[in-house]
Amino acid sequence: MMQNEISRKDDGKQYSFDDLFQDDNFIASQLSSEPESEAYWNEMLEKGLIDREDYTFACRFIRSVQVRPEFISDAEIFNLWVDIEVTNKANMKRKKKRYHIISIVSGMIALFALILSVRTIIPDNTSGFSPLFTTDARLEAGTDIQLYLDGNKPVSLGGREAKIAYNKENITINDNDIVLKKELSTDKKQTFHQLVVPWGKRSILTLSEGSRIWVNAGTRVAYPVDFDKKKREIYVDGEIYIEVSPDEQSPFIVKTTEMDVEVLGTAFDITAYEKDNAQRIVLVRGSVKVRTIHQENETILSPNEMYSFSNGISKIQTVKVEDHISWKNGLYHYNSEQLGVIMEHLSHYYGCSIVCSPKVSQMKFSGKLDLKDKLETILDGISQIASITYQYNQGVYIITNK
Amino acid sequence: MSGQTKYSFCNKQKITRKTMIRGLHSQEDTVFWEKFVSGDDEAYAYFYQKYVKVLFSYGMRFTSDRELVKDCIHDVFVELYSKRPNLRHVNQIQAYLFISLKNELYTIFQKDKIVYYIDMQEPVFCIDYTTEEHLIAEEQEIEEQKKLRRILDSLTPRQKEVIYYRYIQGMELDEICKLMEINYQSLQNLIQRSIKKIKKTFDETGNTIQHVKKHMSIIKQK
Repeated sequence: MMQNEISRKDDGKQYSFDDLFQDDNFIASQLSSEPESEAYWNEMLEKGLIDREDYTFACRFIRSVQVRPEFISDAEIFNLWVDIEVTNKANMKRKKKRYHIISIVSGMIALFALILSVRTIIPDNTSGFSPLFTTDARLEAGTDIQLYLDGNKPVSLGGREAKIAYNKENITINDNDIVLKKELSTDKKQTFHQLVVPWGKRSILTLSEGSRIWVNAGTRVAYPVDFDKKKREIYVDGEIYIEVSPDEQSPFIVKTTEMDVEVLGTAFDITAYEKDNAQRIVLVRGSVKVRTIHQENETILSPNEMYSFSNGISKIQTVKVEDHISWKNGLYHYNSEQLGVIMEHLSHYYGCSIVCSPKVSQMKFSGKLDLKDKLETILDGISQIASITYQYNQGVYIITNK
Repeated sequence: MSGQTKYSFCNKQKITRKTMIRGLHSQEDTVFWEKFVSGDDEAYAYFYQKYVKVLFSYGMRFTSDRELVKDCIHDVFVELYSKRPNLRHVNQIQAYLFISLKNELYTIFQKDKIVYYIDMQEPVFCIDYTTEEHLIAEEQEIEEQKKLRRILDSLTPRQKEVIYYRYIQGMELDEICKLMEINYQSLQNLIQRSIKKIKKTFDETGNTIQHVKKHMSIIKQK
């Protein structure tokens, strides 16, 4: 069939000068020469379908007209990239600031609400997310872990890690270092406490009903001192890993800005930083039900599944759980992960800006990073095993090839 | 009639081969683009790394101010980052980046007319052609190069621009339409006119059959 068409072409019209110049295939063959297409055009020449002079000229024209690429050095490319990244980060901060102003305003209203009528407002107030968090809590690296008790008196806890446990009468901190008497309010309504863990620190929190929460850096958690009989609700802005103590009579609900996660006896990791536009849940055991503010439908997750929610789009995928929860043991665990992703995690954890050159960010690493170390120690370690180097400049760590 | 046959055959060949070449190429881009719009920063770095050189080279067609071109590339990528949730529909990534850069440059040209419009109506698109050094060893070759230069010089800036997109970047016609803000028919006409001009200058500058024959033998040997 093909053969037929070709032979018919033999006595057909020739490729004109125009035809050649208009032919996508001809242009493509000149821009990236391949044996296959060269053979095709040679065949056309042999058959006399193309005027040799036209063909030579067309080839020559296209090949010669190729512009001399303007030279931009690798250093220029890299510096431009750093500028772009710094601008992007500054833009994100500006967005964040705008959010803070809003939250301060709504926070003040909430403060009123808390003082005036704690007993009526808090339960069943599904839309009141941010108001539960105190406004003066600071997340910057270097500040202490803060525990906000009744009446917004924060207790500062030194060290990189704090253990806080609630039981029937007391709150114990760091295994009996400090014991606080629970001030049981005279009324029967719930009182909320709040734990604020700044960047670069972690905490382990045991709630009065027995659930254990590992609280990652840059995270705020608000929870009732004593839980309601019918349901248990906590509020999270940041990342936690939680092991929920089973109680069929009283469902456990984790609320974030975008989602409600209802727990059916389980352990899972939830990442929901208010400033990020992506929120994630990784389920380790049991099952959870997820409701987002944008969707009517509920989603039920199975173990080893990650539910992510970004820009109004939700997605479920199977993941290696260990990679997502190793931080609770003070480690980041990687298996052939891109350095760019690792640095993203570290910049989250330590609450600082890290910029990688594009080449560096594609290098892959496996292994464990100890989060008890200072960031510089980790970066020194990485630069000893790989050919990278870093410098600190105007609040940004810049990582480049050696 | 037989001419028709030739073309239909040729088109079939064209489609399969083109989808092979460009298909593979753009498939990778599409995968990364999908990642990028759903928030992946690595994919963002991928596009920077892949296109920064060609973008710079393209920007330098409009001006000789390197720093200006770099500033505009900076703005293109910053905007790309901030607009990414709304960019899901983009499918011709290179063309999209080219359009953004051209817009950035033209905005600056508009703003700073005095600096950039000294004695011209609009920013001129210019093409330098490469001098393939191994080819200009002979005088005849030098002649040939001169001829090409004359051909290029005879083209208007707009014709040079379309030649650049079509024969240097190998872009599809619909991409070029968007870049030059003209419809398909006008683009066809522009290309036709450019080719006619090339052909005319080519014929005027005399016959170099001898050279052509020699060149052919080189091609055959390959």
